[in-house]
Amino acid sequence: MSVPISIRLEQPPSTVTVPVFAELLDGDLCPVTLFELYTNRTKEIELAPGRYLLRARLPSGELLRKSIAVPSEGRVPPFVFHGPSPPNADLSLQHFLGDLKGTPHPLPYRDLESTWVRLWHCVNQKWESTRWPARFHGLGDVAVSELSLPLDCVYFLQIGGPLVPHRFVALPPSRESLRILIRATRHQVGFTGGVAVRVTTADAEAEVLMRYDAMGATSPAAFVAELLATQLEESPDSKANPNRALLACYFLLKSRDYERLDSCSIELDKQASWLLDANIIKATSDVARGNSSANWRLQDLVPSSSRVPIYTAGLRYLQDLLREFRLDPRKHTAELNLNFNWVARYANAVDWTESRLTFLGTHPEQPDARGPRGTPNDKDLLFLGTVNHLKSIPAWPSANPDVSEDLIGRLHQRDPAALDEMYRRYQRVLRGYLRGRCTSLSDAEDLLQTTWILILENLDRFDPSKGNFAAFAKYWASITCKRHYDPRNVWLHATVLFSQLTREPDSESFDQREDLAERASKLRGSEQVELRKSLANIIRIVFEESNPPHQVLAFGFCRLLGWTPKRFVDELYFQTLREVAERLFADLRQELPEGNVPLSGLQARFMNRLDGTLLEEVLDPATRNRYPALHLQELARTRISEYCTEPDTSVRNVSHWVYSVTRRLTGKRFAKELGRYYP
Amino acid sequence: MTVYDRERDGPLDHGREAIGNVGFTHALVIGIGRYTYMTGGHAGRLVESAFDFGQIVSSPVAAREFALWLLEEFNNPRAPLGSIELLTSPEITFQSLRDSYEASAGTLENVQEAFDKWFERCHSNPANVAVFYFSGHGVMAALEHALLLENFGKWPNPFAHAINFNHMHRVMGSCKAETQLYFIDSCRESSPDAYNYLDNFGQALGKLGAMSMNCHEAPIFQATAPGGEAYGSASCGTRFTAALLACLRGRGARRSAVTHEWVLTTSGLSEALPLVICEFGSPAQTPRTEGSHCGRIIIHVLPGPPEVEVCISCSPEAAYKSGRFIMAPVSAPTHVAYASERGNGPWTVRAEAGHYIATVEFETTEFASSYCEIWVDPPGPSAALIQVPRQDAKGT
Repeated sequence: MSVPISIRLEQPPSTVTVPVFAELLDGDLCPVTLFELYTNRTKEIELAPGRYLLRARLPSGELLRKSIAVPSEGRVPPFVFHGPSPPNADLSLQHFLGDLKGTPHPLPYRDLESTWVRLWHCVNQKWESTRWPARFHGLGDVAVSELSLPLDCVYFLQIGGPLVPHRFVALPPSRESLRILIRATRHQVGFTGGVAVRVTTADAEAEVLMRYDAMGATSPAAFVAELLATQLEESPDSKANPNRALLACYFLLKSRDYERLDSCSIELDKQASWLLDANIIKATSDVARGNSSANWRLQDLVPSSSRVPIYTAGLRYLQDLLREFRLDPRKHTAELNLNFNWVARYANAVDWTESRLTFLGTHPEQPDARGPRGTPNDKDLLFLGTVNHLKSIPAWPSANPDVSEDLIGRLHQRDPAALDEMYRRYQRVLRGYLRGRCTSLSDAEDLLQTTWILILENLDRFDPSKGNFAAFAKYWASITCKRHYDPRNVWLHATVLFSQLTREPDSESFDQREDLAERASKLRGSEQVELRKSLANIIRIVFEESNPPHQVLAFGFCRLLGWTPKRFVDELYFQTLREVAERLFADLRQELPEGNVPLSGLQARFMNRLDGTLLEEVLDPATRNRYPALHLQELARTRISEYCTEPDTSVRNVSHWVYSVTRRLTGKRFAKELGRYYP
Repeated sequence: MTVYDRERDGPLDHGREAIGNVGFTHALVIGIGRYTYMTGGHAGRLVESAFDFGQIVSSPVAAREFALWLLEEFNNPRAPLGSIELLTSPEITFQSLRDSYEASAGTLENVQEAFDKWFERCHSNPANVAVFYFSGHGVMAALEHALLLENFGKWPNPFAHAINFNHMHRVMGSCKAETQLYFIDSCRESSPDAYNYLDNFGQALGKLGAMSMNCHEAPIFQATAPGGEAYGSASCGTRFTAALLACLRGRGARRSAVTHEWVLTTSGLSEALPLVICEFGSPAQTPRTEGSHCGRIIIHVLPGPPEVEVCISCSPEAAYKSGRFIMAPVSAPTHVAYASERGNGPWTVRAEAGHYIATVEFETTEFASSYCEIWVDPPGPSAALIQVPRQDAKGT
């Protein structure tokens, strides 16, 4: 007598159904039945009364074990089990698949900040890199990005940084969107640089098959592969998905089910003939069966610059095939040797623990097992740390408004108490902001009052959804400052302020940029020659005096070249002072016509200073006290990052260094000198 | 050295044999710990520094353990043990059925000779099972895996004294034995220096025949993923072999739905190995199963239910003082199969796989006796927590 029972595995996300391999064992642990158990879907089966053990192998590797008692009489309520709870609801599928395995630990901010990603794809047989086309969001200790790619060629994600070896991760040819997870890892740190990349498609069945296969769970993998292959055979075009077809074919090849492989690989060919994987699968199955027509396939297997397999298994099969051909004296040619060596170079740089092709290298055609590090001088890099909402991991702050809606409402109504509150909150910030931008303290104090008037006049334009109040207030402080110096034709300041206004991300949402551009351009008139002389003098003063070198460099970039402190941090954080100084002088040479300032002499003297230690070259006791660990280090070898004791405030630190130098310049010692240039 | 030969020594006592045309299992077991041309070796010079990995203590021990398991516990009625070729460096004494033998040194010449014998035996019958076990240093270049022998580094091309495992596997493609099991307990770290020797990366040990892919059931149980390291210690042997033997002794077993015997299949071993090796802790080692296989081939039939570690705890912890644990099969609840001493807890016991009722009993009336159902199934360990209610002096 059999009793109908229903079994259900509840697993977030509740909208996704994932096949899981399950078996029921009787009291003697003999297998009674094997079946696929879809998450969040009820499975009906019939069992004889008794006690059973349900064992479900999850794709994460976890073994779910539940006891089931089937009574001989009465109605049997459904058996509902709950899978592992994800740490974050948005990452539940990834958690279920095992992508979040390992002890979570925060990604060090410094590593994250300098780590970049970009996208590579092949156009007309030539690899091209483009900026990562999607945003990264912070979810717990994970950075997540989602993107959809056209099914026309192989795409690679490249990740790298000063501490992270450059590596490529093949992106699966999926019709659905891809989800990319970046998180810290302690696994294979030499290869990964401590940063793991996980790619998931929305095709849960294909993902489960890949995980089962990777963990060596042959029976569960065969079960899911069977599902995929059957779907592919029965309704080939209804769910055209090259990635799914590819995984099914690889598994059929592995399990030597050649007949089914033939029908599935035809479908794969229709969907994505551009995949080298498809040719590898066909050739391998032909060779394994001794099919003589395999000869012509050798040409298909010749890897060209645009053709790299998506899956690691593909590279393995390719190498096996080429080895086989190589061992046959009739087929051993120089070209074959070249191809074998081509594959061997990839094989040497590949992470074989990954299912999808992951290899070290700077270019898709140049695998490099040594794991090159650094930051290429390309514009298409997306720095993970520079994305506004990725300030740190964990606890990436969202763009929280810094004033409540209630306070904003009261401000709009000109409530004096609300105005007092705002004044109390932002007076200090604005004063500091202006002091860093004005040539004298009295100027800053005057402009502070004007700034508040401007803020109140334009209060209606404040929109919290576009930025916080601090950004709004600083914006008007900049406007005030610029209006103050414009009539005085101080080109340097006008340019710097204009540069700051246009490059500051926080101010993008506010208007008046065109107006500023117009006014700044007017400044560059007949007096530019004189102003350049002023600039040259300032440079001379800055570099000849004993300001701490890291502060001088920050001043140079942020004041003389018009960089924002944020850009300074983004691009130069991990560079040594020597590298930063060389870059600064190179850029200054481009900005200043020859003869304005003896840059070579200044550079030589500054570089000499960098050869000394911090104790020898930095006279400011406050600076010395701040960096005790750097006292005996050669300044040239120290990095900007070592001067930022709190990574989260590195941009603020740079602003402070710039301000420090500015303040010294405006001090008594240089008042007379500067007075000539700043009326 | 052939430490066991069925024709010479007679059949084993413990193994069952199927009736009819059966094959035999022939094993080639190699454990290399002494490397003459590496630091600590007795040669006057050393191999180039990139390949100077030093001496290993655990490999010969692991090879002997594996050979001992084959001799004393291996049971495959369809392919009983036929022979064991054992080579170790340093040479160890191996007590076989009747005599003790000194294993041959793991030099290229000896390995070649043993391989030839092993190949011939395996080749004699398609029903034969070929077992290849290697423990020692390994190096990878691209995907080629070289298994280093005792005299590695003797010649200008150091890999002249190594086995190119990929080629050897390929050579075995021409062997008639339809089931071939490979256990490779070695590192698979890639070396840029090794890449320079890729054209002559070890010996194939046989003739590479005409082009045809291997169509045998030939899983390769690798101690680690490509690029990874395999670990061991002088006292405990190698992790992989320890985990392998634990799985072979039952942790990878499952019950056959047909014969109801406890069997170890290639799939069961492949799934259990990573779970068992995880228990060794950090640094992580990730065994891999490669090669072609369907997963259903039976490697070993266990004589009875395997033993699995069980841990039973109770809550509150105060109950441990006066509690005593007992375990009885569900099918015979009055038969106490396992019992603990009073006052010990949590209780850990190795129990035969099965379905049990675990009970915690008390002499005093402070706590009420309680029980729970527990399934003890490989690979384990199984665990249960019994909630114990407090009661008053009247026992209510």
